[in-house]
Amino acid sequence: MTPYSPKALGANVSSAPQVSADSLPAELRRIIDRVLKRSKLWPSERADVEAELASHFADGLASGLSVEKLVEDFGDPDAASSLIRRAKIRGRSRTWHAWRLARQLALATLALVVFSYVFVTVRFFVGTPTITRDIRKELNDPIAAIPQNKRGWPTYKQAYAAIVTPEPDAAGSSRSQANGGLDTPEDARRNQDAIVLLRKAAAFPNFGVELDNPQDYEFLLRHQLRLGGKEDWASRKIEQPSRDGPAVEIVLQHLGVIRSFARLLMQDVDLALQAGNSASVSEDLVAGAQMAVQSRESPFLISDLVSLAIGDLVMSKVREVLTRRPDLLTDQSLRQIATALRDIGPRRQLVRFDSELLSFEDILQRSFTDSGNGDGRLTPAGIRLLAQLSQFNGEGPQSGAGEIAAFPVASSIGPGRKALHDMYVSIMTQVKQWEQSPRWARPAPPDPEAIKRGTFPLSPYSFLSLMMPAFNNSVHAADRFDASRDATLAIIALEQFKRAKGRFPASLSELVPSFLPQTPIDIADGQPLRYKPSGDSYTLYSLGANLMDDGGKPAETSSKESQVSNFRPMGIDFSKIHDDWVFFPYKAFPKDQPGN
Amino acid sequence: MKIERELMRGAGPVAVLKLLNRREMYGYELVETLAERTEGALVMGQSTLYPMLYNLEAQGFIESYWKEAGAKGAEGSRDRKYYRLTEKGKKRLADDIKQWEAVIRAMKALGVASIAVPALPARSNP
Repeated sequence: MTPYSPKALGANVSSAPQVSADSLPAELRRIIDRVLKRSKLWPSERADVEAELASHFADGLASGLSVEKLVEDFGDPDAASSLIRRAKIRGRSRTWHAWRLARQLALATLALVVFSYVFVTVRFFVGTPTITRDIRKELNDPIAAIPQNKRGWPTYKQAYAAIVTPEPDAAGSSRSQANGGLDTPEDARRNQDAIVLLRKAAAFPNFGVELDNPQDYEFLLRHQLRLGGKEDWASRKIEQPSRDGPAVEIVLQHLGVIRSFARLLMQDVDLALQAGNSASVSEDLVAGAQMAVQSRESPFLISDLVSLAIGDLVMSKVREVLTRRPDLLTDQSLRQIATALRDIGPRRQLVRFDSELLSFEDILQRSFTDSGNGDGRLTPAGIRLLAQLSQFNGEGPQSGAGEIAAFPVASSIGPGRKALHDMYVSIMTQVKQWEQSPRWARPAPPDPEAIKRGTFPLSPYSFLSLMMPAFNNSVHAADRFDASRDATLAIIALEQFKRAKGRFPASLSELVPSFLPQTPIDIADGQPLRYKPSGDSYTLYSLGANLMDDGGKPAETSSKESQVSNFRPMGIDFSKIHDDWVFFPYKAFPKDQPGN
Repeated sequence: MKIERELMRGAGPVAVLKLLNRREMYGYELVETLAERTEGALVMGQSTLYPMLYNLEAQGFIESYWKEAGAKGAEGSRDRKYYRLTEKGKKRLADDIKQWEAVIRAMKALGVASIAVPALPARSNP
């Protein structure tokens, strides 16, 4: 045994005795050792107890008691060590007790945190989503119900198969972009057979492209390979995409194809315009407008945006034709073109968000558990889907270990399935209300990004930010299309007026009601479109982004400032922008102006 | 007769305080005195006594100090730790005595304690 050090180190050690247990019999030393070892006291306390017990045994021996008797009288050393420890601890300072309490609280908190984390982690990893709705089928059902004899798609396929590309050049290269390559008059000249088929296909009331059709997928892919100059296009093994995933993964190849067909038709308009072929010009323009109608068939926002792009292409070409050869189109052709443009849909239906909600619900049912009442919590499958969507969108959660470890917590503290659904619906309700305002009086759009910014980046809120459609740009595209269509219909009406009256009207109001149902409005300020007749011609324009009448002077360059998507964005000096949007006479607009 | 552990737990501290109220004592002396004065009824092993002393000290009822017993430096001289009552301990003892008297009266009234309890005889310091 170590001799007792007299130095008092702790509480209640009163002095510095020199007492050693070394001289005690081995049995008594063992008792003292056992008590000291198990009591786990501070060195000073330990020394004090050791000295006192040694002194006690020495007194007993001096009194004539036997070692055995002293051992018996001592009692249970283990019980003694426990009681001594408790008593000594009780005698320690308040500071020490406060520290001990703090430590115990910290440990208890840590234990609670660990327990909670383990609980939420286990709960997270055992959670599995239950897919109860076949959203892909729900989206496809209306298309599948279209009778075969009303579908233009089979004829479009014939046209696609009939498309021919130029021979490879001397360097051996061919067209690199199969769908985007049909954009020169030469392409149109070479593909007259296909163009005849396209006009025929566009005349069908419906497009009739069923979603998730493996035969269509293979057909389009093979012909893309063919048009891309791949010699093994007919024999190459085609791997089909999975069709078990969420609706957002539905492949919409046909939209790119029909858009390239529309470009090909517009190239054919140029050929026919040069040749003075009124019938071909008319047929191509009407067919183009009908393609815009057909492409809206699949109920996706992207379908609507493709429809608007095709419609813009056609309207721009209509204005060009009426500028260059106002006499070329017959009265009947003008009426057919106007009707076809109106058929693309009323303003409020140009972009639709309903299928986006369906897609969001599909994501939710594949990501969250199903509590049976519309609610549920995030699952590992949901995290995988979130990562997949993030890669697709180029944003979202990373895959660091810390973030992975945070998923169970995010699942527990983040919003559940029902909350997310309700938020999505709430935001889209705001969007619909916001969209109802006239463009010139519309306030700032709802900002779903605020939700994302204000929360934990890995939280289930990410689903909202990833799945929320780009409604601001979409609504703006619809506004631009509608403005361009109003102007184009006014230009057709002005031509009809001139043919009927032998002159252009003094104001647009003269067109109403015989040639137009109402005076076209400038979406810049809500006033009538600016119309300036001048002899045998006229100028029709909008104030444009700067809200100033520049006398029909179009933007000379496509500057960044003129590429505004809102009429009153922050940080742009409009005084430097001269960008009236001139619809007539036709001039190649900067690409950011309406109709382009 | 030995006292049951639970009863000893209540009686032990007040007995120790009572002894220390007369004079300061060291541990072995307390054990011996208790056994002797109570005719063996309150026999306490060290495993009970010392934790009790440390508890009383922690609560401020007693205080301790080391002192060399015997002639300083003489053969057989040894350090001992003595305990004495504090003012707080005296108040506590007074309260405890009142409570014990009440208990004894109650026990008498119930016929549990029918014998007279003699007062502890006074002893001089060794």
